[in-house]
Amino acid sequence: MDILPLLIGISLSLGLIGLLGFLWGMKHGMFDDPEGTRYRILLDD
Amino acid sequence: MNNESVDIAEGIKTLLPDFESAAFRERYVAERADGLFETRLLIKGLRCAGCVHTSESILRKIPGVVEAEVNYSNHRARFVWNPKQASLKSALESLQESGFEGLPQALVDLNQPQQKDEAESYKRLVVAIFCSMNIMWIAIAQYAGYFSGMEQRYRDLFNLAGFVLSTPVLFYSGTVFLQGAWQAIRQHSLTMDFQVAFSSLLIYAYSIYAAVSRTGDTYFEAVAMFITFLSVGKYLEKLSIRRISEASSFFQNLLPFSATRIIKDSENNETKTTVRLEDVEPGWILEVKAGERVAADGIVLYGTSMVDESHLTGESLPVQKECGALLTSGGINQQGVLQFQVTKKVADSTLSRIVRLINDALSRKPRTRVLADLLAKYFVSGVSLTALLTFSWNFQQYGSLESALVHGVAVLIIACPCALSLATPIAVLSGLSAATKRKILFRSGVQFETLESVTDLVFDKTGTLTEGSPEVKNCVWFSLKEESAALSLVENSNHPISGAVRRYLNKSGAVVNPAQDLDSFEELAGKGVSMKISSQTFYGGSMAFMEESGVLISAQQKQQILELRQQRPALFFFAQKNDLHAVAELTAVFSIHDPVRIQSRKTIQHLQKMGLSTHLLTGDHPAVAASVAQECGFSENNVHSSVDPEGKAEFIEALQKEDRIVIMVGDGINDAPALARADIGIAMGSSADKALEISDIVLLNNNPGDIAEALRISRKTYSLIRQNLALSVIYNIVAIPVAVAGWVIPLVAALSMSLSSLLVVLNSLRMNYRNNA
Repeated sequence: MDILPLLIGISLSLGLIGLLGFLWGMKHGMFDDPEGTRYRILLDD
Repeated sequence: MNNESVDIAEGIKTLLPDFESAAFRERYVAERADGLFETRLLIKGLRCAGCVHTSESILRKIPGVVEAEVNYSNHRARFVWNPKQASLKSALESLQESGFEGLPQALVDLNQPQQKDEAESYKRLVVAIFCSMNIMWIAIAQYAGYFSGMEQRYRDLFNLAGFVLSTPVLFYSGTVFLQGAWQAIRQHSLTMDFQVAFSSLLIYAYSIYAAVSRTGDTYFEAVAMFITFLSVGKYLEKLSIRRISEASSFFQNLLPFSATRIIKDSENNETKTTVRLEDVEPGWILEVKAGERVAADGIVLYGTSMVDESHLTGESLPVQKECGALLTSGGINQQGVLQFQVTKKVADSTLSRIVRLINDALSRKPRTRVLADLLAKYFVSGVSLTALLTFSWNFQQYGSLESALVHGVAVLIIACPCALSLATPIAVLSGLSAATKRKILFRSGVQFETLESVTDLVFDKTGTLTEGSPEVKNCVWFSLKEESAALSLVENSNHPISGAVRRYLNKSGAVVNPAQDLDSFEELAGKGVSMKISSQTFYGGSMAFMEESGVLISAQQKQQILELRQQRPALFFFAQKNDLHAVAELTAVFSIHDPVRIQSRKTIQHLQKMGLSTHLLTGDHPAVAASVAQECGFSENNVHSSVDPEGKAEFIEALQKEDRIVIMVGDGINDAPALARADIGIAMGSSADKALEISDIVLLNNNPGDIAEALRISRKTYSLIRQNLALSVIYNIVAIPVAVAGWVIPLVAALSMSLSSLLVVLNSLRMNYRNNA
């Protein structure tokens, strides 16, 4: 069970990376047009 | 028939400002460092994703356009172009040809604080949820350890993790509550925010103490979950506030920002200059072209035209203006060019007064006492008192500071206002979604509580109880039915009355004779239309036009016309002259009125049965008002005619002084001051932008019957709010003794928080909004 501190640390760090990624995405307007993302994949150009 | 497309097709000019003027560019166009121009456009008329794509393509195909991207979610476009190759005006015209309308957004409105606020609160929510979820998987281990025993070093580890994860929740996500608590302290009032902040900080501090001194249990996860649930509640509240009209366009200004001034020198040579609206002085001569808004109050000096003054009177039929006629600021000039002399400064003009009225009414709008806020005060004081009593009683009994602290804090933990804070937002969201499904848009959930105590409804006539556009009521043919000729005559006219006649003839199956060649066609503003086909001449228009064209009207025909005039309709006369006879004869008379909506009568009766007082206020003539009032079922002394925008607002104020709660139902700019002043303003979906912007409820179906529906939904929602609040109070009454007895271990705290919130959510899901009556 000595591994526990390391495991908790790693899990939280991984989660944190995800959270930071989300915040970065919000800052750069990735989530401003959810409808558009859906439709643009169907467009020909 | 789709009225929207008829308008565009008929070419009734929509307002296009002077795009090249510095005044316009200053407000709407950003000049980039690389010389390109950029603006944001709100695109109207987009009915589906295909339309969005089409509008994007239209813009992109224009040579000189560097970037055009339309947001599918809010229909705003980023538009960048090279001013040397393309112009904004031509781009908007291209859009208009395909049936879309592009409205430039003012640069100041771009960084809308509301959008940023929403993004910020969403970020806070996400961080809180992230930390809470992680804290919980650590907490489960702690709960297990509580029962089976745990080594100190692991306890320390978990406590540390709990501390690390709960700190951002309390101090980043919980900033809203901390700030709210600070304000409450400054204002000496006990609000929910204060309770939340105080409890959280105390529990947090106690947990740090417990971790460091290695005695007792820590409640970090309780703090984190607590703040998270409450943040969800706040976010739900934010979601339920809608921006009903997002058209932050120049329509909102109601006045143009520049005008054309005419200066005549001694030799009567005219020079035209563009002046800013703020600089316009009384005595100046201004020119207003077709499609432009009249900049200031004045008297017409030269020209003949029709002006749409619906912002004042609510009537969509344009009024004829000739030399000597009065012009009011804000009217839309339909056809000809008018030159007029300004009589009042812009700041004193009619329209400026209306705008001031609206803003004034909005600032004095009565605020509802929200039920949850009322409860909060009692709750906060009650819980704090209980915690304090528990602390002191326990200390007295057992003498240990620590034990007393634990018990006191336990009361605060268990009494967490999770359920209380979620009670209203969840119920509101439930009600809002039910309303939205029925195409009734609420500006915010507060209206549910206001609607509960409504006593009076004030209705506008034109466009609200009536359709708002002219229709032919009946038609008298004096001789042979020349329907195809009549149709050809009105086909080419843009006047709303011609449109009504055309629709009537189309419905009765008339078709234009394609073999006939039009020799000439003439439309005289304010009078009528005439056309020549080979040897025949046809006339259509007002009585004055008939007399001018020398049309013979027999005594018997005059009698019939008099009878038709009883109801004060608009009359469209149709006459023809075959060159063989020298005199034109009256062929037909069309009686035109503004029809009452089918649902109006039933709605008024239903509302009266509910015990509400109904009033009709209109700027129209008494005779028309009386006939509509009778058709709908208003009692005679509740009908007021010839009321101007100011009068409508004053009427509502008078009712409010009698402590009545008033709903105003309207659709035009002339209703805006009243809509702003009323406790609740309801607008039809087809209303003017300004009316939509300030209304509290919008009926997208243009059906007055939806008012009764809105009342029904709000009654159910209000009762749901009361139920949820009752549940949270009951929960607290049951839970607090648990805390006093000292049974609140972290597991119990976490469970209680979740269960109370779940209780409120489940109760809200149970609500059935279907109309069982």
